[in-house]
Amino acid sequence: MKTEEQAKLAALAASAALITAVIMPVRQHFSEQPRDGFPLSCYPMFSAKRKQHGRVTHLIGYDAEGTRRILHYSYLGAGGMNQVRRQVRRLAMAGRGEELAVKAADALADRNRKAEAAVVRVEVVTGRYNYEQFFAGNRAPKSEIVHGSAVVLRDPDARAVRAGLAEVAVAA
Amino acid sequence: MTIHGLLAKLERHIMPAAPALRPAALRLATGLYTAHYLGRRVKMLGRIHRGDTSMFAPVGPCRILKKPLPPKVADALVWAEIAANAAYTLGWQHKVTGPLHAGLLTWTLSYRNSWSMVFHNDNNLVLHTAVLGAAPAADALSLDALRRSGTLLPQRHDWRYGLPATVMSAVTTATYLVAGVAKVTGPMGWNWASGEGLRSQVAADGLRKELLGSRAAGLGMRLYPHKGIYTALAVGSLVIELAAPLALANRRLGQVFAVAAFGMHWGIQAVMGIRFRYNQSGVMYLSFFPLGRALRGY
Repeated sequence: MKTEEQAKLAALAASAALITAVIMPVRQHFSEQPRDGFPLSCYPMFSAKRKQHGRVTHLIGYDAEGTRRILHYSYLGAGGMNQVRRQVRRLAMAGRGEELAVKAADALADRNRKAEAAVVRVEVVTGRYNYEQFFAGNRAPKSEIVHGSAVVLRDPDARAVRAGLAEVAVAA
Repeated sequence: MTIHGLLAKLERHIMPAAPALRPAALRLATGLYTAHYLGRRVKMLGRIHRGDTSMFAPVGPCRILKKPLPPKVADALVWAEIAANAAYTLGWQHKVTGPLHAGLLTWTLSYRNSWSMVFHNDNNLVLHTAVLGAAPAADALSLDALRRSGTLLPQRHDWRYGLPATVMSAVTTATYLVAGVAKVTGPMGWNWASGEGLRSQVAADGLRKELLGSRAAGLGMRLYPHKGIYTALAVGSLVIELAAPLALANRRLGQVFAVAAFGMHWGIQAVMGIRFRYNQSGVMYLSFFPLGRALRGY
């Protein structure tokens, strides 16, 4: 049976251990390759030094006249904007842009939203923008890389044929 | 004052003899918040569990996994956590369900953060739940209290009821301190206080939001040309983060810190459109406003 003093010491020791564990990730800030974790994090958000330009990998839709419009990230994946953004960038850099574009085109056809009814083709692109100019109203990218493109097939049978052809291509 | 006297005073400060109501109210608040938070995300978590397996980058306890769990197993663990949270909130068999809920919540949110992005607004919820799950937080306002004492508010005071709020507050301030150190040890050093880093972060975040189909926060964009405002915001943030441990010195300082940090997160949402849900709910800072009087002369 623990005495009251022993119980207090045990509780204090456990509390001190938890608080130390929460502070320990601070070591990552002195490391060459900081590594974040969870639930013990080094909270690197907002600490990076940023350049005048930024690159974003995102989704563009085109209507039959070729007018482009920005499409919502949720066509590319689930889990919130920043999680999808990171995943899409990694997949595009890994050469899987076409696969992403087809996935987004199919999701767009499935959701069948009125606002996007005119979109006939989607592209996954990485655009490079100048922050000052962008927020002053110049929305044109300084440069743009197209990672993948796909036609929006609104007929489910046509989508099934495309999926089948993709499987055959992978198998080959 | 003798060393013995000082130690006794420190002990009363860290673990005051508080009423059972104090940790019980914190248990109820964190439990209700978790029920709301997870309840609204069951579908989204299901979609994440079925995501591209090449994106799996396990963090925390999930690092024991070499590959993602089968989606149905991951889904079942979320439902198990929701059930454990219900038991924790109601205060039913807390000695078992408290630690069980803490473990399952840690797992669920670690697994959610194991897909290429760590969401830092979940950390304190997990850490606070770990403290309350291990503490006697269901000796009031609970089914356990009704069964044992026949009342929801048994008149008991004990240091075991005073310590959890102190530890939760210490954990909260420690996370702010680590975030503050990240800024001044980062590539900008103390120049982070100039506000240029924050301003460029607002720009980067706004650009992403605009191009990914969300709306950039209007206030941040309107303030973008005004560098002086960003300097003031950066200095304010650094003071709150680096001075956070001072909040543990006394109750009034703790409450000033809590109000300032709470305001800072609402400000971040207004300027950057980034939500820190647990912080902005206010539940995160409740430990700085402990309920019930501690016994004097204990």
